[in-house]
Formats: sequence, C-alpha cells, structure tokens
Amino acid sequence: MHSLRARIVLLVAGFGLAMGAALAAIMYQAISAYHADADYERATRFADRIGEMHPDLWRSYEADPAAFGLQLRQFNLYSPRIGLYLLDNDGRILASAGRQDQAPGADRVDIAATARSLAEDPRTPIVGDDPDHPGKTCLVAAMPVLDGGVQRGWLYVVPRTRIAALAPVTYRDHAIQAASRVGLLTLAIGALLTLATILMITRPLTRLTRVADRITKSGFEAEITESDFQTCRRDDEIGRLSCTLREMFERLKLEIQRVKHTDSARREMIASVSHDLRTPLTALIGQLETIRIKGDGLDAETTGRLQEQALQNAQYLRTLTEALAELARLDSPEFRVQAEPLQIGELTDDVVQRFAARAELRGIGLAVDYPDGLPLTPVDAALLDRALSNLLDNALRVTPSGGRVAVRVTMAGSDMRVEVTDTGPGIALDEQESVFEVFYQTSKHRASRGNSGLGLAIVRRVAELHGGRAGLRSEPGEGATFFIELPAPG
Amino acid sequence: MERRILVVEDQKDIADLIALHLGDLGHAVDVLHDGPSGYSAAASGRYDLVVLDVMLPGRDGFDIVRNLRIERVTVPILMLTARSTELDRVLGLELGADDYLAKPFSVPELQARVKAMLRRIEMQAAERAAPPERLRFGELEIDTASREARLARRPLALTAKEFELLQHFARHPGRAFTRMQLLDAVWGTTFEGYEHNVNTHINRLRSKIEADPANPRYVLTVRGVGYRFTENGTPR
Repeated sequence: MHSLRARIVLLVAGFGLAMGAALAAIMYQAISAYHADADYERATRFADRIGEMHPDLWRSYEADPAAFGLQLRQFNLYSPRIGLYLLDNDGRILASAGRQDQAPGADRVDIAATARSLAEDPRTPIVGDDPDHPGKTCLVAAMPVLDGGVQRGWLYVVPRTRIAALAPVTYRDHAIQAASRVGLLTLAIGALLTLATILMITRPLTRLTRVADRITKSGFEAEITESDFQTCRRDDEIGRLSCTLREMFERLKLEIQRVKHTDSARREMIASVSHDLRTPLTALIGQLETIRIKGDGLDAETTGRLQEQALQNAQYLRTLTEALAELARLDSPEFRVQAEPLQIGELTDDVVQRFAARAELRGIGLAVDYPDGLPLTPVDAALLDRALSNLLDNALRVTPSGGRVAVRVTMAGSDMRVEVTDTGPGIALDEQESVFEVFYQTSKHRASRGNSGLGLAIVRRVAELHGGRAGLRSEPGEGATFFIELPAPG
Repeated sequence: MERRILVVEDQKDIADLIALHLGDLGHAVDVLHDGPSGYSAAASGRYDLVVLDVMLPGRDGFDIVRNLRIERVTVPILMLTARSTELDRVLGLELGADDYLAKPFSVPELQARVKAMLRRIEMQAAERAAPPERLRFGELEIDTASREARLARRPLALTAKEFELLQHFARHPGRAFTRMQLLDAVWGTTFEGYEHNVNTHINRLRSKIEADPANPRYVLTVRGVGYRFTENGTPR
C-alpha cells in the first residue's frame, strides 16, 4: 500500500465492515434484552395476578396436593407455554402445570439464588434454574406463597413463549440484515467520502509533489509560477502546506542564487588578487634580477633607484596581503566585535593626528571637528581606528597639494556620524555604489600606487559589524565625502 | 648598553636578517631554529629579550610562552605572528607575551619595537630606583612605591599600562601631551600603528577614575593636541 489513495479506500472499507459487525452485535443484544424484559414483565404480572386472585393458594395445595397440578394448568390455560410451578421454601417442586406426558424434569431448583436476586432488584429479569431442563438456566419470575402471613413456598414462573423459543435465530437474522444494510450504507457513504477526500486532499498533494519534483530536479532553477501553488489560496492545512512549500522553494532558490553569486564573486576576487599580486611581483623580480645580472655594470644612482622601486613593490605587496588577511578575518563567522563605550570625537582626533605629519608633508590642510558632549558610543576601537585610517589614507591620496581634508563627527538622528571630506577629483555617479566593493577602484584611484583596493570594503564591513553603514556623497570634480554611521545609545 | 637577545625562528632567512639588524643596534644575538632548544635557552636566564616565532618545529611559540610564565621566567618576549588567527590569539588571550609583531614586518619596525622593549626594562629599573611619591588630587591618591591608586580610599583595579599612564599624567599636572608623547612615555615607542590607540587606554582609565567618563574631571581633552591632567590639586 504505497499510495495514500489506496490507504484511504482500505480504511473506509474496513470502517464499513467494522460498523456493520458492531451494529449486528449491538442490535442482537438490544433485541434480546428487550424480549427478556418483556417476558419477565409478563411472567411477573402473571404471578402477581394469580397471587391477587388466589390468596389461598397454599391451602388449595394442602387440601389436595395431587389435584393441584390441574389447578395450575387452569391458570395458564390462555398462555400454555408459560411454565408454572409450586415450590416449597427449599425449592423442591411440589406441583407443576406441565403436561403429564412430559419427560420428568428436575425435582428441585436453586430458589435461594433466585430469592437473593429478587431481593436485590425485583425489576431486572432474573435468571434461574430451568425445572424442565435440569442443569440449564432460563428467565424466571418468582412470587412468595403465603398462608396466614407465613411464607410456605414459591410460585415459580418460566415465560416459555413460542416466540421466545424461536427468538435467538430470528434476532440474529434481524440483526444481520440490519447490520448488512448499515454496512452497505456505510460503504456507499465511505465511497463518496473517499472520492471527496481524493479530490480534496490527495489530488492537490499529488500536484504539489509533481511541482516539488520539477523544481528540485531543475536544481532550483525552474521558474516558480503562481499556478504551481494555486492550492496556497486554500484556507486549510493543504493551503498552509502549499504556502510554506512555496516560501521554502523561493527562499532556497534565492539562497542558491546567492551562493552561486558569492562563488563567482570569490572566483573573480581570486583572479583579481592574483592579478594584483602578479603585477608588483613581476616588477620586483625584474628589478632584483637587473641588479644581479648587471651587477657592477650599473651606476650607483640606477642601482639605488632599482632598489628603491623593488622595496616599494614589496611594501605594496605587504599592504595588499595585510588588507586581504584583515578582510578575511572580518568576514569569518567566528569574528566578534569587542565594543566598549568610547568618545568617538576623541578617537577620531587621535587617528587624525596620526596623519598630521603626512598631510603637512603633502601640503594638505587636515582639520578635525566634533561637538562637545557627544554620548559615549559602544565601538570596537581597533576596528573603527582601522576604518577611519582607511578613509583618511584614501582622502590624502586623492587630494592634490594645496587641498583640504576635513573630518567631522556629528550626531545624525540617533546615529553617530563620522565623515571625511576631501577636495580630490570626486567619484562619478555610476561608480559611487561599487567603490565599496572588494577590489573596485576607479581608474584614477588605480593610478596611485600603494592602494590595496580593499580599504573601502573594510570600511563598509566595519560599519556593518557595528550595525551601522558606510556611504559617500560626491559631485564629480568637487571632491567626495565618505561617511560612517554607527548607532549611538539613545 | 649591550643586551643579550635570543631569536627563535625556524626560517633561516628571516632569523639571519633579524640577527643582523639587532646586532647593528649593538646587542649580542643568538639564533635557534626549533621549539625545544628555544625553550631551554629562553628558560636559562641568560637573555634580556626573546624574539619568538609562533610556528616552530617541535614546540610552538604559544606553548613556550605559556610554560615560561608558569615556570616564572619573566624575560620579555616579542612574538612574531604570520597569520591573523595567531594574531587573534595573541591579542585575545593573556598568553604572557609582552609584545607582538605581525609578519610581514619591516626592519625599522622590528628595531623600533625591540628598542622600545629594552627601554621599558630600563624605565622599570629607574622607576624602582626613584624616590617614592604620594600624589593627591582631590579624592584620587597615587602611590608610586606600591604602584597603587585609590579613589575615595577605595583601591582601583588598574592594569600596568593604565597605572603608568595615570602616573605619567599625575607627575605633570596641567601639561598637555600629544598621543605621540604619551606613546613614547608609557609604551616607549612612537611607531606608527603601535597598540590600538591611545584613546582606548585613556578611555579605560577614565572609566575607572571618573565619576562620569563622558564628562571627565581628571583626564581632560585638548582638542587637536591630545590630553592633559587637571592642573589643580582638586579636580576642575
């Protein structure tokens, strides 16, 4: 049974059969109980009527014990099937209405047990010994026979009707007939229900399975259309399952696209890194080889220049590998920001002072400004130092001699904002978003030596690690303002 | 003053370069290339400074530092690291190294770092020889002999660098120091990129001695210059 449909059919058929059987049993019991009640009631009333009409029953017996059987037979002239017996207090059968030709039955019954059941609850049918069939029991009624207020014996009534004799078979037939009708009805209703279930549940499930199969087999590249998940509109479990599935597939699809994108970005980056490493390495090897091959053939000035260039290339390689290592460290999932509340204005001032000598050497005006009473902001000092250093390094690199670099710390709403404004060439509008990407450099930036091309990527990563953002404003030809915004405590 | 320096570095090119340039500073330099012999030499007590690489055959640098400190060998150690993960361990754990230098480093950087460490040894010796002082600024008390600081009679839990920073300020109240001057006075170096940032240490010191670190009363900011200590006996 590998299909939900077959299981439902089997379940409904089994249910129909079980219902029929259970109903047959219940009906049989109910009919039996009804007849038992009716027979008992009739027997009890019969005994009561005899008691009422013949209060001197015991005396009649004592007057002529041999003829008393005849008298009893007269009592049940109209209900010949009812067995009527006179018992003494010990249950011995003194007389019976039975025919004389009848086979001799038992000579006594267990009247004590009958009396006990009678005393407990006189309304429920009592089962007692069957005087005509020794060792068997049947439904009985019993009434004490009194004489002058003293109990002399019992009138013992066995309601042996014709119907009652045939009853068990008839009941069973009735019960089985009713049960099979109910069973058939249940099966018919079940078949309809099954059809409905299949239409309502298994059909949409089969559909969903087909859609899921198609999407999975396509490697999550197949288009997910509205019609694939029509069932999502349903207001039930199937609807919810469809919606959840659709959401899951859409998310998975996005994730896989993202992973593929990251992967291609990584490949691009590795290509970019190796290119960026190869260029200075080629120069470095060439310079060192020149010095060795030419040896004394070179004049001192040329040797010195070659050595200086070789060193610059090596230092550029160092800057590049350090930035790469830093970016990898910041990108690793284990990396944790170690934030402590700091006065951002002072920290910025400290970083700026580190660049003061370089700015002066290049003839660039470098100024820092921050208002009093800025709130302490939780930041990782080492990271922010690195980010600000990168921004200042870039600003001083692109600003021509005689230009200005201004650093400002302000509150922007609930954010702490640090901005570095230069009077360099600015950045073209279409390049403004991509400058923060790894290895993106405008051709002008690329021209200036010693820039790893990773500085702004690190700046952005640092801002993100603090829950903030990095951005820039620039009018080409008018310089640029790079900023970092960090959430400050409210 | 000639010092004995031990260099433990398995890469012979780098070991030779380090030995050459530290020798130029006028020190006697011994070079070893593996962990176990490096450890025994460092533990021998014959050296004033150890330059120790992390990646070493036989026994790594972290293990050597840890065990030296367990054995109460106090020789100053300069760790050389090549990987950022190593750097994280040096910075993040209290390994007991006095300083670190990340590869690739330049020759002037190495020389500056070693000079600074040796100067610190001298400074500490001079510190011990100097007459003890008890400096008072309002509720702040600084005892240079026991190297303890108290605020309103309660002892402050300052790190060694924080105490030195406070002591340097307190000996020159009212005088403004640039970050370079503070680095030079407290760390013994002005090398670019050294330690995180003076501001970090100022900030941590303030968080321990100031009632409101956002509005300091003892360690004050001098814009565009650096920091100064309150000039009056009582805080501003």
